[in-house]
Amino acid sequence: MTTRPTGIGVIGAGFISGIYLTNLTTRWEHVRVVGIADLVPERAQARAAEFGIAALTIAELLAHPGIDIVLNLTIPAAHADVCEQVIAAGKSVYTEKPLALSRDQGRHVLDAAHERGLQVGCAPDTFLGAGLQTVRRLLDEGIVGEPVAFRARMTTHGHESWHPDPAFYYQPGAGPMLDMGPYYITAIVALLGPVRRVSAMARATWPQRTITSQPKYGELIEVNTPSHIEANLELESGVPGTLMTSFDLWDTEHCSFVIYGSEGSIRLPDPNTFGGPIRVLKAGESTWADVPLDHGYATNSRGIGIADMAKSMQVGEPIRASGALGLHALDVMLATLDSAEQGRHIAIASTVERPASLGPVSPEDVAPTHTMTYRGETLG
Amino acid sequence: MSTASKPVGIGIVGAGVISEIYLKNLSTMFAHMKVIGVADVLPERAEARAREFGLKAMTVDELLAHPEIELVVNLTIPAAHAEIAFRALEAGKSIYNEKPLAIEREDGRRILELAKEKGLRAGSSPDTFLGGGLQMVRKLLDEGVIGAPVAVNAALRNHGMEHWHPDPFFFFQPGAGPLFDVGVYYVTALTSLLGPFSKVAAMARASFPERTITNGPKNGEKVPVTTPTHIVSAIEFESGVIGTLTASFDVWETDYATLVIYGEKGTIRCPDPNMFGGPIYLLLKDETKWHEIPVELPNTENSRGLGAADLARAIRDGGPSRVDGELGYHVLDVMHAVLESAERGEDVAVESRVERPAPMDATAALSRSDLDHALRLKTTERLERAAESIYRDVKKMVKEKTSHHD
Repeated sequence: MTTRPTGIGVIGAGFISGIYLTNLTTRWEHVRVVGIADLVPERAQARAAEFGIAALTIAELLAHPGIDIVLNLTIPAAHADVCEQVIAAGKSVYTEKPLALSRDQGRHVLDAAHERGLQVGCAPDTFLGAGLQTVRRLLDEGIVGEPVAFRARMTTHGHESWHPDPAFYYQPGAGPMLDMGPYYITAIVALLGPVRRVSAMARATWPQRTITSQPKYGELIEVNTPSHIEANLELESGVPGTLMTSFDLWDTEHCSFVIYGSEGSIRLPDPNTFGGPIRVLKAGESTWADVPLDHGYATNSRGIGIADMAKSMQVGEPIRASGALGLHALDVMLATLDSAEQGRHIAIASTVERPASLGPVSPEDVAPTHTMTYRGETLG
Repeated sequence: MSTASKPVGIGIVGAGVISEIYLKNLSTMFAHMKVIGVADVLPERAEARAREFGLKAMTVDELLAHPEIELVVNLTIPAAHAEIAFRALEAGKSIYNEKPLAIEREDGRRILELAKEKGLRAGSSPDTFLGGGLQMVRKLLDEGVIGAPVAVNAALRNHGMEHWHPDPFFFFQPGAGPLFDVGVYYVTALTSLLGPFSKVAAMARASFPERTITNGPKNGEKVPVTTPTHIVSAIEFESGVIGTLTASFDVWETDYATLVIYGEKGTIRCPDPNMFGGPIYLLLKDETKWHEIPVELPNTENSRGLGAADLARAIRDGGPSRVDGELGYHVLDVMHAVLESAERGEDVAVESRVERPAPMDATAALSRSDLDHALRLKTTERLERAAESIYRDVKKMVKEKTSHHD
């Protein structure tokens, strides 16, 4: 079957658009980037020139007949509005995380798309990388038996020592949970299924932080959201776990992520990356063994989520990095903050199917290439 | 010899495995106490221990009636802790219970009330927090080396006892499980270092409804599991510090004893709180390397009995004891709150409060009474000087870092 490549239009020409465009213009033949738009036309023009695509206004992009999916790379506060505009224009949308800032906004986006028969996809797509897909295979093959528990810790001391403009990290909509939680929660749900209940405690250790990076060195940041969150998560499968995210701690281990099974344990890679390392401890043993990655996309493959979305729409299958997954992740993150604030356990109203594994990917896909073997079908 | 300087007479009830280290330490380490006799429900066990340590084997009744015994060290199984404590107190003896103080809160409270009513002392293990390792952590915290504490990561993780313990049934029943059996060390250590808990929010389950013994004479037998064996709890302290406490018999892990205290200016990796010694590691703000902090304080070997010795000291000098039953009760309260929170699916406030016990005195751990001269603890001026020099180095590091960055 020959299908014309899915046309992609990008809204938002900021920093993150670089890696998306690099990957989407070189790695997959079944997608074609048509154009890019930004509130600041010069930024769109610069990216357009760099990647040999068209610079468009947002209105032109939304009206373009060759664009099937819009990649929404705007700031988090604009995600839901832009998604709705895209849907109103009759196009499917894939948005950077988070899907929205509130559950209602997120649900509204999904409902609007559903009414029009359109699709919504949502980052992160790191769970489709070589690292987490290899973990998925280990779990599916029962290498560590049945899942028993998990433990995830994201330990940093914030971003004011290196980020040029770090104030947003400490405002509602960010903080360590909404900023980094999407990677952890999406990985947990993709590997172990949806979350049923959470309980959490949180604090903002410092009401103000001092910027020590340039150019705003010495400026104070008001902290308006918890900067340290300790959460318990119970999955629908009954598996309990913990998720700690912090901008308040001094540590040398910034990511610690373990899935415990009845027959052993898996130390996962940082879910904000696409690669490894992966280590397995078998029951009764005292040393962890390295597990080689056996899937493609071990390098920064941002864009694989929308590439998968395009392919899934072409063949009529469910998309993996879906809006429903994004909404569930958002629901869980907000529930941890609500739980901490209200001092009670909170049942998660949303649920989602565990996305299908990517399946074996041929060795040539490990390197950037124009040929892609995808679910046994050679594309391009 | 005046009554005030007469050694405190000790009676041991329970001659099981743990009695060996207690008897070894109590009969050699401390001159202010004298072990008089040992009793057990199985007379042969009491006789064997008595022979081994040159003591008198007694029945429990004889021991409780013995005029020279002032303090009963209760090493029975947890289910018997409260009953023996009541009987000892009624008989006019002070009591030191192996952990936990009691299984039920109500029994714990009654032990404290009865002791108060009778003008006697009640205390309980664990006493590992009096060891050199955790006392060194205490010193680092009190010296402000990591600034105000911010958060805690406490996790004990193993795969239970059925592959090495010959008779592991007890571990999987209410009153044991990973929280009551091992978590008690973590909760006690944290309370002694950071002050009392104020709230918990937990989830728990028994991942495996039964376990199979894979060693010894009962190899192949099934053990029913009637208490949660994987417990995760968010914890909050009265000071505002929050953290996580994991207690599990259900996971395969090599990092089996994790206790980390995060502070505003750095982080301390504490030793296994089930042990008396180190190692201790310190990370200072903005640094990428952990420093091992030498533990040059006394009591780093297996010093079980240290708590009983402190209680005996307090009996003589009338001061507070570091292992006072109020601490044991708070720990019991926290452990119950965690299980209740998991069972009910709601946050549970911890009602009881306790003061942090006083730190051990680096040079005179048990010397505030008139028994100083008789103490045989290996505490010398040299050790204190060594400790002081470590603090100086650490403070210098902190000062250099802060002056560089602030």
